[in-house]
Amino acid sequence: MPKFGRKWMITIRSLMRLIGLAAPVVLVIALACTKTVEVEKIVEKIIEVPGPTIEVPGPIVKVLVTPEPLTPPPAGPSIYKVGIFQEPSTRNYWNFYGGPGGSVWTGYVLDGVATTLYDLSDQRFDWVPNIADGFPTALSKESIGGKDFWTTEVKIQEGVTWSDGVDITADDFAFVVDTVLELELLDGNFGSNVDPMFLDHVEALDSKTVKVFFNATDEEGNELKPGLSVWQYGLAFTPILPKHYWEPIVAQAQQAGDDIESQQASLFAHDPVDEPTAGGFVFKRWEKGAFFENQTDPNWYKSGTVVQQYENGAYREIAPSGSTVTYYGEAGGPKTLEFTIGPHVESTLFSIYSNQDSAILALEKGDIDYVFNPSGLGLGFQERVRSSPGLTLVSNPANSIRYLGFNTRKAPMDNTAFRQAIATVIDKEFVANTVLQGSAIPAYSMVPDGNTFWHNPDVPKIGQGLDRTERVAQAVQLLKDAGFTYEVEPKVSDDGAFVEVRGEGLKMPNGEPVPELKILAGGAGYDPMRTTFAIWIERWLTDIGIPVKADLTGLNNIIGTLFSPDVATELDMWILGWSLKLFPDYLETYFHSDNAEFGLNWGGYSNPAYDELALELLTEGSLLGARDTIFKLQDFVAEELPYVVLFSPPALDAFRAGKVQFPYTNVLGGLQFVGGLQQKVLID
Amino acid sequence: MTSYLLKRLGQIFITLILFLTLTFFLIQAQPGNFADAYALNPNFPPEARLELQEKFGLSKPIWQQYFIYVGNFFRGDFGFSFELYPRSVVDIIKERLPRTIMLFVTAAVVSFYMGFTLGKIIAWKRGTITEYASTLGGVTLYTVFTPRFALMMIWLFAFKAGWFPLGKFLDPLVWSDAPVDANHVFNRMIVTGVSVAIVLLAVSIAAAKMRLKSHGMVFPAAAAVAVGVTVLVWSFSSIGGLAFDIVKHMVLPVLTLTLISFAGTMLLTRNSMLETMSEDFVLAARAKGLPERVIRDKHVARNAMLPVVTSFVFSLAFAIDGGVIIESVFSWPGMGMTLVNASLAEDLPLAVGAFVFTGIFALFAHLVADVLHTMLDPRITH
Repeated sequence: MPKFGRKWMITIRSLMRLIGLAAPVVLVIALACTKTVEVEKIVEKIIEVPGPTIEVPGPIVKVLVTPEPLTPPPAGPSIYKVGIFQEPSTRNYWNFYGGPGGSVWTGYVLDGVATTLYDLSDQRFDWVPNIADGFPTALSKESIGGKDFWTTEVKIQEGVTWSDGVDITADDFAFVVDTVLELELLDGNFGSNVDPMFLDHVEALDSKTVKVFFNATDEEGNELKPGLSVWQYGLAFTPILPKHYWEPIVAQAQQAGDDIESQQASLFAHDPVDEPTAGGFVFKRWEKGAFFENQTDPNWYKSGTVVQQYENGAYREIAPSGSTVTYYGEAGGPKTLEFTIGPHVESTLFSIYSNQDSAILALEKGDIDYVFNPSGLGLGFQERVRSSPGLTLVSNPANSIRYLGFNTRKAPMDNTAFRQAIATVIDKEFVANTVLQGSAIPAYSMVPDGNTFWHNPDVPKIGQGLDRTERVAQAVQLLKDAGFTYEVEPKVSDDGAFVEVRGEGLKMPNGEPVPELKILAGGAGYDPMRTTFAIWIERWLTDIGIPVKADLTGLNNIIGTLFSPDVATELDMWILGWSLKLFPDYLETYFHSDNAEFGLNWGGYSNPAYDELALELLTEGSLLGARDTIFKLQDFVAEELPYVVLFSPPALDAFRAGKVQFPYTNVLGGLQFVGGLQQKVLID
Repeated sequence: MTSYLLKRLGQIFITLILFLTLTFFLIQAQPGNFADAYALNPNFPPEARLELQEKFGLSKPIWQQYFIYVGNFFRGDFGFSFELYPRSVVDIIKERLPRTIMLFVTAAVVSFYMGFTLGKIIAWKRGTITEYASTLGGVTLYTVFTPRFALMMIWLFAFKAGWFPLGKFLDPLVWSDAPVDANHVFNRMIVTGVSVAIVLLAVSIAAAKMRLKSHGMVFPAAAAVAVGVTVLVWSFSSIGGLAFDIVKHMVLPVLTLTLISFAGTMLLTRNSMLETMSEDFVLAARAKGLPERVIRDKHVARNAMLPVVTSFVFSLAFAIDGGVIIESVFSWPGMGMTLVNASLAEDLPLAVGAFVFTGIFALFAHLVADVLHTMLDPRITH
């Protein structure tokens, strides 16, 4: 080949390589510049609501804020873009609420699916009707076929429909309750709504009237009366699902096998394609690993309703038709809250990120408007959000606690003085304020202080305010008073800064040495705050001669141990957390001795006096009576210490304030506790 | 060759059994009880626990469990995921594997191409500024702290410059009304990629066999045509826009992966080239008066390719394992994150499933590497 030809060919070859390499880049850049989004306008449905009939409890949580002005929904396209860090588990509401698919992330994306008879109002958490037409009738005693019942009736509003236009009826509610009882869906959240010890059955008297039959006696003939926990804060909050959609699927599930487990599995496995909803949104798309999208239900019965809350406690809803319902007194005086129920967006789009870092970066860039942070927001992220223009960070008290639990079946954890000695040496304020730099709020009661109505601020606060010398001295004294003995007593340095001589040879009152103990706690990858507490607790207990090791392990290992048949012998202590309900009937769930073998009383705490009080709580029908009982139960726990409550993490929410406008941000548990206000948020 | 292949397949089968055995006993050696982890996991409803107990023989002695486990493997039954119950392990792997293959195989190919080309150049220009600059730059990137570098790339090119998307493998706004799901598009993209690779390989072999005078131009020309045709076909496809959206999301992670890994291939190529350059046949080629470029590309590089190709084939095999750091930083949920998250969450069935898949691909890569050796070096006979 001539010289010129070879050069020419080399040039051509180089050029082609260059084109080959450049073409994809050019294409990518060209594509990046083309993106259009089409949106429909929001359709508002007019709802007629009859006048109010009221007589009920007052406000539960008092959170006063300056009312924010109502802003009309913006015209044009609007998508509420939120970030989540984990794939939802399921789209099947039965699986989510009553089965193994009950993750917090699934809860966020299924927020707009079900409805309830009653609900808690925004921000203040008043107990208000949702689809119910006013409040229920008072409980009355009836005798049917020789059996006594407590009964109550609830009317359902006219004009409330599923997203497919079918009326929501009393049959829908009865169907869900019947299904829960027949398929025994009581292990999950349905268990906190439907209590078979109290509930006999539910009837639909007509399409709009529900009648509830509670047992008036238990199996042994003792009198029973459903309290707030069982009825108002239990059954009345049961999610209602459409009977006309689910009835054939449940019937099919009931044919799936002879055992109840197979039937449950069949129900949970159903993929609810085109399921009608009643929460303001209908499912649009789930691209696994990438996003989950719900679009607005244009027929939602609540759209356009104006909600007003007044400083005097009154609660008012004004429907688009102009009809008004008012609860808890006369509406008048300063308002604490006012907003219009939407959804004011075309859709809610949940972008799935691998980690918090990526989601916060996306928030900073404007790819998303809000991030759910159910596990908290680290200091570094807080700093980034604070320094990013356009982003806002709000902090609210969380309705959750982290605690150290004891296996009270086993020595020496069965000794109250031993548990109190441990509580005495744990300096929660030091870890929370100094080590964790204020990321955690020290706590002493099982009911977080943000839950103001039910929180008992005067529980015994063992160890609070003591310095290291005092803590060690008091703990040693508690142990010695209870019959424990030392070979070498611990000694704190003269300046009180550290323990210079560690306690040794600690023996139990029966003369046996305290065995090597283990604290199960999650690793730093799961929750660094709990891990930090575990490490410090190990150190402080070792200082006073209690031989203990913090076993930082996976959550599944801890849960596995707690649910193990050998829990009574295998478990010593553990550190976990609870996200709590507003009504603290969990004080019965976690510590009543009946729940020790198969329930959530993993530590096996057993105290007849406590059991009696806890049972009283379930049957208490008045708010003030329940409050009094709950205060006593908190006192019990803080004194007897089946748990040492350690801290409560603040609920931190980061959002793009210039893009999204929430009707309020000051709320117990933060915006994530109210599902990111998907039905109420405005997008600019 | 056939008998060699059969012998290698036999060896691979034995290795696979050993691998499965090791995996089983590693899991058994973990703290805690494997059987309890299955049987007591609260995510599982009772019926699933019973099914698992029966399927894995959890109430039986370890040796019986082992045989049941191996039997289940050959039936393709890895059980259910703890975290994502009731989804099966195979279903989850089927969902995530295409994403990982697409990203990491693309990155491996680009990285290999860049590393091999640069390796050839710096070996030939030994002692020049080009060698020093390339080596220093390559080694710096090779040893950089990957998470930091990946975040920096995102910050620079996606956050500040806004040229690329900020992680994820698709734009939800583009996909909101898409007629198909992402895996549908990923699978077709993989098929397209494999088809193009096969065509190019065939063209390259044919050109070499035909001893065309201009056969050096055939491969780039074929590549350009193949890319052009591919882009054209996808442009007219109803899912072309979706594919381009994925490609757009791939650019930054591929670039990052390429930058942090090309130096390995580059240095390997360079060393291999330097060894080959001292061979007598290179001297003979020079003595014949062949152009430097021909000596470099046809005589030295081809003979230096063996270890480089082996390394490339293994990198392809381990691509299915993904890179947990890259997947995590770029929110690209593939096999790497699946393996690590399953391990962290003690989702044993999923962790074992993902691990075993990696092993199978690695063994398959061994076989491919052996075959390629034979093709690349006629001196190797079996």
